[in-house]
Amino acid sequence: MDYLLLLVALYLFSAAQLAIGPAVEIGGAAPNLLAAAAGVWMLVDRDERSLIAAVLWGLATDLVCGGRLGPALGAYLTVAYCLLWARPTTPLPGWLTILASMFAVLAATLLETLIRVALGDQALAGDLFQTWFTTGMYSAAVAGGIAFLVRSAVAIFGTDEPASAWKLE
Amino acid sequence: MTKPDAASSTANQQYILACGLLLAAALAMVPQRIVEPVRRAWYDALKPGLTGCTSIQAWTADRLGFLAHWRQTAQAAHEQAAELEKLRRERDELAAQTAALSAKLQTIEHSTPKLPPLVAEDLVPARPLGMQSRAMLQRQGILEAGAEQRVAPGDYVLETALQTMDAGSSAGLQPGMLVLAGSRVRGKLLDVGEQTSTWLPVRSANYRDLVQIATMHEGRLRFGPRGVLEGTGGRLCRIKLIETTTPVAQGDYVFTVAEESPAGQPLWYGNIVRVEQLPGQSHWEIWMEPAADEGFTPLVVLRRTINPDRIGQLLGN
Repeated sequence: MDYLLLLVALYLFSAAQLAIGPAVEIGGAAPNLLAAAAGVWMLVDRDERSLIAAVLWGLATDLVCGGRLGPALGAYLTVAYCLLWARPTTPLPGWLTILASMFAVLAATLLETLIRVALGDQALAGDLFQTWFTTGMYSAAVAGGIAFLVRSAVAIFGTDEPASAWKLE
Repeated sequence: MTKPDAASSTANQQYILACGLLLAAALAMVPQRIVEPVRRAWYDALKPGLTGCTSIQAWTADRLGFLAHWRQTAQAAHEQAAELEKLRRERDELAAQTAALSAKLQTIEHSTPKLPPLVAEDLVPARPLGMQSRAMLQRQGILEAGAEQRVAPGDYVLETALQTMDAGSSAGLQPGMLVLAGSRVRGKLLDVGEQTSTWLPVRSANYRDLVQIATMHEGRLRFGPRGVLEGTGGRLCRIKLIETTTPVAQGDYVFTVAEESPAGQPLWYGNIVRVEQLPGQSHWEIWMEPAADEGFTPLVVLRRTINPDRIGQLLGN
């Protein structure tokens, strides 16, 4: 993983979250573009670098989305670790990689929401459903789209980066 | 660069996880007064990116404007379809209500004994009298009608306005009854004598009547606004008191109002030949040409009498 590329992506997705997020609302739910990008990035590397990336994506989400710092960081890191622990050594099929990224976004959004509820930042009843179900679903769909585009780009240009998980199979 | 072994890699991952979670917990406890300046600094740093994103967003929205247009059109079509469906449901409900009320009305009509109409209408034939006939009747002392109006044979007014016919009160005629030629209105009875009557043609300057305008639409008459017809003494008559907010056009028909017509069937007065809107006026200036010609054609008078059948039925009860 190229850390410079990660920093550029962090910057661009943070700006996009602020500028484009509210403009693409559907039924009052805006996607979390940072969560979507984080879900995809967690699957790029198979080592501790994915954890470091999750920390940075979580910190950026905390900074952009308001409230306390830390919930998104903790949630993304935990999900990234679980993915790292659960992933088989052999590369995943392409469609399963896309599904895994979507699942990672849903799980990270749910965990982040639960942490915020526990810290008193959000109410349990309405916000939990609104934040996780609608925003989480929307963000997961965006993550699926990003994962598909990345896979297609790797297949067309045949670069070594992102890592082998994307190009082998 | 050598690849790290699996054991050390797992330890590193656990170490990063622990440190990361500790960092998250520590950050969660940082007070907002410290967090906010950091967040503001991050927002300030994002400003160039925000500007770029906004530009891209505007450019894309401009290029994909037709998508928004399609979306609006689809939404409008959807709303119209819903409105149409709602109106159809309302129509069906109203049709059902109408059917129920019609059935109820029929039941009431069948259960209630029918009374004959109180006023009966019939037509009394009459012949117009020319100057020679009027002079002869005057000499015989029979032409009494019109005396009150101080009209006499040879009088200019009589020649041009009042007409005479050979039917009077002996035939049940009364002033105000309509004089017809077929189904066309020619005038009204003005004065009724025993054997003769004088009547005022539609074109006469003193003629007044309530009329209604009708338009021919798909082969059927559609009745519209009502106004007051007045004769002018000339070829055309004028119709007043029809507001310019109601549609009237050249060629429209002019009829008697339904309640003044025999059996509710309007009688034909004529056709509109000119429609004008004078500056500052809220009513049309409408000109009508009478349908009935002025020749010495046979006349009929629409006579209204108390229906003897109705009286007989009432007396019988």
